[in-house]
Amino acid sequence: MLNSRVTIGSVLVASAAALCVPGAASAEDPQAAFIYVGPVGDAGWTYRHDVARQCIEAEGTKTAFVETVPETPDVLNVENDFLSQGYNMIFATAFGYQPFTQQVAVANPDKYFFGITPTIAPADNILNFYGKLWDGRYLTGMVAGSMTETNKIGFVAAQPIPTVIAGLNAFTLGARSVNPDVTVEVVWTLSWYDPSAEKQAAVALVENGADVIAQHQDTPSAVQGAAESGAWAIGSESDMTSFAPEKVLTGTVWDWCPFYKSAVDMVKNGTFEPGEFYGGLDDGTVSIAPINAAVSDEIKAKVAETEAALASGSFDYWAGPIKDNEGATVVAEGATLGIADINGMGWLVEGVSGSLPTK
Amino acid sequence: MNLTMPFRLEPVLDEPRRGQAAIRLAVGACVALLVGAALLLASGYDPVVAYSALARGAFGSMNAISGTINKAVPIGLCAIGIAFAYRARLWNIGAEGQLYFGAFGAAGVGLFLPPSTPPVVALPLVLLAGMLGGGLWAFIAAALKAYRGVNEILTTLMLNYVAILWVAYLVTGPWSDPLAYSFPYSAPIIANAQPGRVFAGIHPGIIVLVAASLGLWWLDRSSRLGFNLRVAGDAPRAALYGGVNHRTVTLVALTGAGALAGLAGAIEIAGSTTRLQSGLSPGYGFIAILVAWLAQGRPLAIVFAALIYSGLLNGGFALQVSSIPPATGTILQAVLLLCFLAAATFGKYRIRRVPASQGSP
Repeated sequence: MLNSRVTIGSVLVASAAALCVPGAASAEDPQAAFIYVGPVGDAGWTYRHDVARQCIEAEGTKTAFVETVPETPDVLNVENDFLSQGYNMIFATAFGYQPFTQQVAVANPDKYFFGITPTIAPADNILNFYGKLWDGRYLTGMVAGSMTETNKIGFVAAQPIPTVIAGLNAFTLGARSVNPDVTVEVVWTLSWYDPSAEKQAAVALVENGADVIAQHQDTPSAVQGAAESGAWAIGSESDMTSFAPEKVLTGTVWDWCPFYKSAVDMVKNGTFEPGEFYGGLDDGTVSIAPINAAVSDEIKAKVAETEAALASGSFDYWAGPIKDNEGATVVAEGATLGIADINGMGWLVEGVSGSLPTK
Repeated sequence: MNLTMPFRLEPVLDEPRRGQAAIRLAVGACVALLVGAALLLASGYDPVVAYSALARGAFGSMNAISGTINKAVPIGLCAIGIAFAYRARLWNIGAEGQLYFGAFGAAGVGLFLPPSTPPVVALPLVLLAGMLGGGLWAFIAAALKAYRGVNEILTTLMLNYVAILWVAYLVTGPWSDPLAYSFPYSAPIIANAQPGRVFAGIHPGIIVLVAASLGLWWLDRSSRLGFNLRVAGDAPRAALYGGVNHRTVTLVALTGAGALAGLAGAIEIAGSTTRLQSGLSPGYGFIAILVAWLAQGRPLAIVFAALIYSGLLNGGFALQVSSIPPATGTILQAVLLLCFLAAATFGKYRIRRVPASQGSP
């Protein structure tokens, strides 16, 4: 019995040695590898990264991906295997990959690594990226606020982390800018990818009186739950219109193609700089899906006007005074919020009904 | 009409020779590789590309080997615990939860020790806390079994979820790292409790795994406890007659299994993640049940089975790197396991043709 295990083990080792074919790539010849936290079929976060991967592949960069990789030391194995196959750019598209990416990056100073901000594990060859999603949320909030008749909007949220909280707050500010009577009721699923819980949360919010359901989740399940319950839906991550064409009002959409292209160019031209990159409405990283025909032209024009103002920087909805939903002033008159403040956001703005879990 | 099969599985009574077992398993592996190749061809992938990727991800480079060894440590430790409890015919389905509760214990010590604690004190304390945590978690099920006769399969299974949620609560609430932007991480444990990588990316957990395996081997060979466990499991009445207290045996067997799983959790924290986090174990405690079975509970075979299984898991990622979908990897793993199990079964049974008139009812 025991001997046989040894035999099988050595057979595997021998075949590994015999079959292993190392790849090769020079720094001028970018080959990009992608690590996804969810399946590419999630129709949301991971899907949008995969669309952008195909976008740079179409431009001639060799790419490969591994999906559904947990935020655990498995990341080390996947990244090392990519490097062994000649890939010299690693896009690790989940925040929780950072500590592991850092280990691999430090051991491979001549390779390039890209992770999701905010940075907790920097290195000289890591550039972390994300987008000012909240600006898109403000615009979708305006659409939601103009369409609600019950003045109750539901929001299905994944995890109580700053980027989600900032998006929820921006959405609420946008909704109340066109309709000051709106309250936004939030449900936390505490999961990025849990289609049945996301749908359930949307249905429960509708039963509780909400007639527009927005979300920050990786799948279109909340959109489907809202549509089946007869409510309007606001998508997230990708254009979710096709999941309920009648009922989807609009939604925020990620487009990583411009950033990925620029990253490939950086490596090609030797202009890579470590640090952080935040895309936004101005460069197309964040946009909103086409607005439903049921929304009035007046609102559509107002949204377009606000979008242009946000993109050019002439309008800032984070400008104080802003109160949280317990009545305390969180942004004083004359003050505003920067990226660092948003990355540390731990309060819900006035108009949000609900609280942050587990604190 | 006689519907009985004309074939029958008969137990083989004589102890098979070792050489035979080796040949059988080798045949099993070859059959598995052939079936897998057929499946790959049928779905339009080149089996050579797939198998070379699998082998590369598992054992193809120093990085791959260290990744495989590091992953085998928690799987193997949990499996040795499961095999230990099964000496007394107790089913520990709760290694996953015990691993998490052990990690909780380890983090509880590792986070709050003074940073100046010398490594020779800090690391053993963290590991000990892990064993205490895992042992304590299993003790709940053990005590319910020993004193109330509650089925340990159910209690150990259910306690998994409690432990996982408890850790999730800690890392999003009271122990969440203020520098991690509210992501479900604790702060890192003190540096002096982290052994680092001793050799080419391998952390010293493998030494603990081998020691645990030798410990179980010694227990089987020459210890009174090993004998008591087996007697109490196989023949409770005989054990009672012989003065073996079945309660004590139940408590020792399950708590010991929990302590080993807890040790695995502590090693994961000290050696791999450096912090308590949600998703600390991607199901190691459940994979360990399979590994313990594959190795038929034999202590040294468990180490090899854990290495092979962990190689298969890492090889599965490499399949994707070579653009073969992950489901293919899962199917290959399942085919390999089925063939190994079939090979092992044919060591204990033989197929005999039964004349229709003699067919068993």
